[in-house]
Amino acid sequence: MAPRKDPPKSEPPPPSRTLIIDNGAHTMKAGFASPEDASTDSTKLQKPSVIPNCLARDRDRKVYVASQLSKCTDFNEIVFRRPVDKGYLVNWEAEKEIWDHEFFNKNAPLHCDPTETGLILTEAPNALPQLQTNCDQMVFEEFGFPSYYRCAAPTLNAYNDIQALFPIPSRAPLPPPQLPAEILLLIDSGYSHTTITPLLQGRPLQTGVRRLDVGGKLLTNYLARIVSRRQYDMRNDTYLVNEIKEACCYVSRDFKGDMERTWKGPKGDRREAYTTGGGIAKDYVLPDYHNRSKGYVRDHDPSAAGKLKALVAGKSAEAIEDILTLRNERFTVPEIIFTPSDIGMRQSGLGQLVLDSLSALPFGLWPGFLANIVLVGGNANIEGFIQRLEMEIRSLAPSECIVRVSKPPDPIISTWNGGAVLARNPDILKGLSVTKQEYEENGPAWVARKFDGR
Amino acid sequence: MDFGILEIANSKATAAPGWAYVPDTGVGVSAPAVTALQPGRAKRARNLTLATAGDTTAKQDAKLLRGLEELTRESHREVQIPIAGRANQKGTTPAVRKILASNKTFNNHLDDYTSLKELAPPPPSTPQPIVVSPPPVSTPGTPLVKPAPHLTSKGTRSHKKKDPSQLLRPPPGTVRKLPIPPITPIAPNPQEIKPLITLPILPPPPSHPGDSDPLLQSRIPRMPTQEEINNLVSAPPLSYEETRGRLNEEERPVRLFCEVCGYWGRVRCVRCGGRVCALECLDVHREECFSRYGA
Repeated sequence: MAPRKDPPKSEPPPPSRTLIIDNGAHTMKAGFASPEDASTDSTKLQKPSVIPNCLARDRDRKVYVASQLSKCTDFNEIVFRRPVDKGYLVNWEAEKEIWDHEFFNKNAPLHCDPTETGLILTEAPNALPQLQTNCDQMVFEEFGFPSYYRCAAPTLNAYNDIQALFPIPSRAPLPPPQLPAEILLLIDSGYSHTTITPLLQGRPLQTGVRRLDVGGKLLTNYLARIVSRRQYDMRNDTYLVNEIKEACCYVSRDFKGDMERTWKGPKGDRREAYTTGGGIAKDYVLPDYHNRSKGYVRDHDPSAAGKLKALVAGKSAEAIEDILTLRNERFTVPEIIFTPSDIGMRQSGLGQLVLDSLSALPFGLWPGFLANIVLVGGNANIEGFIQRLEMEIRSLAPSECIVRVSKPPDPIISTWNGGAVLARNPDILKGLSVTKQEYEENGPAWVARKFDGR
Repeated sequence: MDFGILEIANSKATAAPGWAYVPDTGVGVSAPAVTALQPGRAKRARNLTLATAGDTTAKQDAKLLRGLEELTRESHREVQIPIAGRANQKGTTPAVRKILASNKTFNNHLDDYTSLKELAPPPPSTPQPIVVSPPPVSTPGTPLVKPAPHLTSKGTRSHKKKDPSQLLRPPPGTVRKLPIPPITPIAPNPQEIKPLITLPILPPPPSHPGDSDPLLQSRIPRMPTQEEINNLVSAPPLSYEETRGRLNEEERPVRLFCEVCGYWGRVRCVRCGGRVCALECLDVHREECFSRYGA
């Protein structure tokens, strides 16, 4: 046993404010929390800013940094540079530019002095050690945060009130939630990938972590591909295709049935459901960035197909809309999450991967995990996702187990909210984070091990 | 046609001087020579990354692979967005300067990691104990050793007596006044994982005459022991490749879709092997398939 070190007398008090950054590949969720917030009413707590984590360049070669993107009006052929690649923070040159712009510059929207602020930063699970070390070095040596906690993003969700997400017949008022949640199977379906993390008292069970290489980006690219093949070439309009995806796509609960309902029918025998839309087909009115800067979705209108005729008939060009009709594209795109082999990927669907993840864990923990499945991340907003996931897991899991799948009210900021709860509990946070002093004394390798929980 | 035989300059003296058989290894995602000359090799390679119905040609597989790779890209075209004020982005320390100047992509880092891992048999995720012993706060690295608090405590703070709700949520106001022992890890360290089922949170429901009915009895699997849980929690992270979800071999057969309209792909193009749903879509497909050179 090493001789115990006296507590350093000069140890500075923990910083009063904590900056929490959930550094996603598509957007980062950032904001401040401090222990004083804990006394205030929890319903009035502030929400994080959701900031595009990218540098963007539009057609006129104007460059937008992160939140400046909201000033952009013409998203035609806009291109992005993202510092987070495949879910992991890789390019610090770009990330520093974004962080400087958002946090450290004089007139930054979320201005703070890094030397007086604590930091909670998330990463995707199973990051490469080199990238983790880079991250620690940047945080301490370049920015100089006095205290810092780097963790896999799923773990922060354990600090949310998980049981409140599952409606149960209430027999008695529940005791206040335990922090962190005892048992939780967290599925994070984000921009780059979808990960499954079993969490026991806020700590990941590493042997059960699984990743499906399907994320929002792949879905968007796939939609862009099939739309380009069938209607307009939109391969250079990823931003727009993403908006179409968010507005129109849904996860089908009856894939075969929906497929039949959107079938055009054999030659010379058009199905009625095809021409009328059959309740599935939707029209997306594309923005032209002159009169309409944002597209919108509406029910399929078969008569709108005659718009070319209308143009010929002398209607003014401004009244003409460009319409994209989406039929089976609406549900075949998110279907990739549940059947990646549809596009030739050699991976099982999400439901099967949940069972794969559990099979690496003792059977005694299965009931607990299966009854506490929480879905977060942007894809959780796709309509019908949790219902389908529950169906899939239900059909694979042991029949005695209760399967409950739920998502927080806003699945995108859920991880950040968990981080905010953690930041309001300085006693828990203090044990988890590393101070700058400790980093300077023990070095990056020690910090990496500490964050690994070993 | 050269039938895969290339003539190369060879310094080695062989029975047939001047030329040699060279294996064609040009099978790769990005390599232009994707239409490989050795289909057997290609089949083996592609089966690791693709899920196909099994009746595809190497050429189709190469196309599929390329398509998959395109889907993971950020944008359709290659883009470079330089940072405006690069000059004032110097970095304060050499390490930071190196990180900022690095242009590596994730795949570069992943390659580095895998090759490093192959070099060193013990995976880097389980580091050797460092010589300078860290302060006791940091010793969660030794999972089987009892943590320091137990050595110093009077033995009144055993695991079993800990009430998790009390431990983590002390009555407000008291915690600040208590002198915090400097080495008590408040973090949920491996040793601190509390028994999962501690006490009934809710009062049990009123008893029912059917409770003792053997047909209605519920069987609960055995909970893992505390030691098993500790081992699970302190297990090192898996590598990036190990966490990748795999295909369950017993899964449903691969579904095929029409390349034109997205309906079931029931008809196969005799020329390229692509799938379409019916004659109407086959006509559309043929237009492209027969008119494009090399398709």
